[in-house]
Amino acid sequence: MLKKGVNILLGTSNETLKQIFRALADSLNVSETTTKEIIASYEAVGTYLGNLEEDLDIKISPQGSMALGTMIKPLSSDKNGEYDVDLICQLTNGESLTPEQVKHIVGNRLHESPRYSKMLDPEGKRCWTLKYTDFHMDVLPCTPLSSENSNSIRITERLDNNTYKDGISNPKGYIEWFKAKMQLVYTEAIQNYAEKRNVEIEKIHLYNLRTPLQMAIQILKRHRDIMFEGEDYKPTSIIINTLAARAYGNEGNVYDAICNILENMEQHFTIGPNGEYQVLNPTRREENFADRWIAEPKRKDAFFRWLQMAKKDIVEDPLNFIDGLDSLKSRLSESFGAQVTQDTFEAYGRTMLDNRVNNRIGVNSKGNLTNKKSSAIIPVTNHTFFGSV
Amino acid sequence: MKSSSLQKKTLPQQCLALKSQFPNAKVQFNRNKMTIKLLLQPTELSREYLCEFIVERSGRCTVWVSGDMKKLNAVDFPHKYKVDMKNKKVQVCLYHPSKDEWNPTHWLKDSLVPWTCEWLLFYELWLSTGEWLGGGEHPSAESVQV
Repeated sequence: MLKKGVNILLGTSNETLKQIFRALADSLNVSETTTKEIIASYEAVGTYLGNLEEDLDIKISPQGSMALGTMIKPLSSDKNGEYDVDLICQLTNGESLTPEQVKHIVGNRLHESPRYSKMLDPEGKRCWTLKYTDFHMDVLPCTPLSSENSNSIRITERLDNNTYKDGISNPKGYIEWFKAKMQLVYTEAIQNYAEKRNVEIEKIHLYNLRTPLQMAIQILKRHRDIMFEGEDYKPTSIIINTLAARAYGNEGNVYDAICNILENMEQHFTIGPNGEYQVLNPTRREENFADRWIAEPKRKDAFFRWLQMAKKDIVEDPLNFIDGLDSLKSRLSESFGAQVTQDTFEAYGRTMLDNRVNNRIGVNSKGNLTNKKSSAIIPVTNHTFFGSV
Repeated sequence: MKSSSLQKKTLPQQCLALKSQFPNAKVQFNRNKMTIKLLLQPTELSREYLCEFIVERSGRCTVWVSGDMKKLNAVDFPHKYKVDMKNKKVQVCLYHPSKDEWNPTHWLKDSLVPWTCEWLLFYELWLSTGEWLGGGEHPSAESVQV
């Protein structure tokens, strides 16, 4: 088992797994239509708030998985299954406002609107939540924070006694850190995108791109969602995201990226003063994303249970126990859900047919179909499957 | 196809060419035909299938696939001429007979063998998804000429 794991790190991993995991990541990804709908929706909120509070110069932008390009389709079996979109609502000129004022200026304006008041949830601890048909948006009111570095923002927190206090966050800094963790691949991806679509680099967002790190995180999150469906202590996305980005070694394809991440993510914890596992916020070392693990050690156990299971389901079993693509499909259905796995295998089949029609496929001496080219590979020429059903 | 490609290939020529690319092939000659048995695995994650290429002296070739075949009795079993339930094998249909996609001037190793691998890939995907994703045509039963 170990030997096969080592092979993967040496870059000899299986061509078919690379193709199937790429198709899996694409099946989990948010469609372009939904992305456009989400962007149009939050831009409309931004315009609405901006027009009413011109002096404050309100700006809305995505944070979290929407901004990182790691958002995935919700579980269809989950009745609350809908996309979770996190947004920063910055009151650019609101530095002198109290946290209560910051929170309520945004809340009051949303309540005043006949459109948005109907979609608004009761006040959250830090956010206002707007419910749309297929997604909900967590709008985080905040202001710049001049005392800290330029990217930091001041957020608001409502306490149990209904008073408010300031908090600090740095979502933009996190996005920049995330890009830096995949710098080589990111630079290449952004260049390809710019050339293909003829757009300026400055206008390209992470959610336009599909890097191996982004896709690996999508697959790991879905594995977690399925494993913890209906259970407590589900490992949080920010922990998976941060450890995955730290472990990522600029692998060029999603399957090698996941294998390396699963092999190494454990080494990217920090050990705290009392021996506790920490996942420090890369933009604010004083914040530990795993702070709840201290009071609730079951969260730590759940994380390691998940990591173990993900290694088994993604790295070990496909290489050791698979007997045919149909058996791989059954196993992946259990780990990632029936519908996305069906979509994945259909997409893989369509890609293989497209590759064959365009003369990009050959067979080696075992009969394995491959995209590689050499004198030992015989091209698969065009033909028409015939005969009865 | 190479310069000699218009010549019909003899059985020994086919055999030698195929063995050069697939050294594990087992070849038998009897009476007027040659049988080539070859284990083929369409992907590294797939099962291995025993594929038999039965070539008559006339050049005509039939291809049978066996091994751990599933759903042999499915009504929508794709792209086949015959299913031999007793021996659990299928005679597969790899090309359009009236489009001149194959004739005995073609090398088996460059045509029927890779097409069989591809058939096996789409067969496993058909078992996985219920869909034949490899394209092709399914004529009405009465117009099929075996």
